[in-house]
Amino acid sequence: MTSKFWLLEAPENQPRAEIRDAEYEQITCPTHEGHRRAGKRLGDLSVIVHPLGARDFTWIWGGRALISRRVLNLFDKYGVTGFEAKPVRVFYPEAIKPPPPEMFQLLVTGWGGLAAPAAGVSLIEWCPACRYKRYAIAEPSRLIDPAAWDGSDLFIVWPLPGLIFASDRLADILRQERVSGLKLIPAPMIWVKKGGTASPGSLMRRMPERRARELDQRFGVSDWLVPRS
Amino acid sequence: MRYNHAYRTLRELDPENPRLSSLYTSVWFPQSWDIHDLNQEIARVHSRLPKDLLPKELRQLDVHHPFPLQFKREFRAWGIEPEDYTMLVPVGWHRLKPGGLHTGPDHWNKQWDRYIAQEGEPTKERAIEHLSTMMKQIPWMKP
Repeated sequence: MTSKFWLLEAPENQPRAEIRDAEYEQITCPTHEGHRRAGKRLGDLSVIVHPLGARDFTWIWGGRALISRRVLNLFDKYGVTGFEAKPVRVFYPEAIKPPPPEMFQLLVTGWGGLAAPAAGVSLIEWCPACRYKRYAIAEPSRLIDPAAWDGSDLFIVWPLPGLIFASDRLADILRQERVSGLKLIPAPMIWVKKGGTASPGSLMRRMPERRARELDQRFGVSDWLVPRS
Repeated sequence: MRYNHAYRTLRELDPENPRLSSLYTSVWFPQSWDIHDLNQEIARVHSRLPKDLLPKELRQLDVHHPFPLQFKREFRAWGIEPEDYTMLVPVGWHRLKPGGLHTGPDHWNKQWDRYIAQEGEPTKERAIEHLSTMMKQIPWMKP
C-alpha cells in the first residue's frame, strides 16, 4: 500500500480566480446569533480569472481547485480516481479580449478517512440547535490514517475537507506530465498549525450528495465525536 | 484594536483634534460607527494638512480591508460587511515594505485563504475572533 501522501496547493505567485455572483445557503441558529454562517454555495459556479492565473490547475481563493481539459484528459488516461469534474463558466477580466480556456471544478470524492487517532482530534464546540461543530487538531502532521484511506488518488480527510490530498501515484503522474499551477507538499508538512481548529460543516457542501450520504452513513461523519445524549 | 489604531493615527496627525478627547471613558467600548467617524476625521485632517509637514510614514494612507474583498461573498454570507471594517494605514506597511500586510510569503490575503480552506464553515463570531488574532500579530499595530 502507498504510504506517502501529498497536499495539493496553489503556487505562491499564481493569481487566484474569484467567484462571480455567488450566493450561499444561510445557516442561522435559533439559540446563538454568533453561529450564523454560510452553508452550501447555490447555483452553478462561475469565476473571473486573470490569464496569468489560468493554468492546468487554477485556484479559487479559499483553496478550491479548477482543472483544465488537459488535466481531465490526463486523469482519464491514467485512470485517476477520487473525483468528479463539473464544467465552470470562466471569464477573463473585461479588458481582456481572447476567450478564456475551458475549466472544470474539481470535486473530490475520494475518502482519506476520519483523521488518524495520532492527530489527536477533539470536538471543542458543539451546538445541538444548529449542529455547528468545531474541532481542534493537536497534531496535523499525523492527520492521515493509511488504514482508513479508500485508495483513491484524490481524497479528503475529515475534519479538513477544504484541503485536497493526492496519492503518491498521482503525485508522480503530475510531476511526470509537468502539470502546471500546482505545488505538492508532503502531507506531514501540512501548514495547519498544531492545535488548529476546523468547523467543516456538512459533507454535502463538499461533494455530490449521493457520495456524501454514503460516507456519512458508513462512517458517521456528521456526528463524529458528538456526545450521545 | 481598530479603534486604537485610528485613535493613534489621528493623534499623530493632529494632536489637538477635539475628537481625541470627546468620547473616551474607562467603561466605554467603541462601536463600528465610532471607528468610522474617526477614519472620516483622519481622512479630513490628512487632506487638509500640507504633506511635507506630516510624519513621513503618514504622508500617504491606504484603505485596508481587514476582511479582504477577495472573500467578500463569503464574509457577507457570514453576516460580515467588509466595508464596515476598513482602516487607514500607512501605504508602506500596507503594500510596499517587506513584512507589510500585502507583501511577503505570509501576506494578509493568504492568511485568510488558508483560514477559509482550513476552517470550512466558520461562524461570524469565529471569523471576527480570527481577525483579532491576526491583528495582534502585526508588530506596528499595537493595541
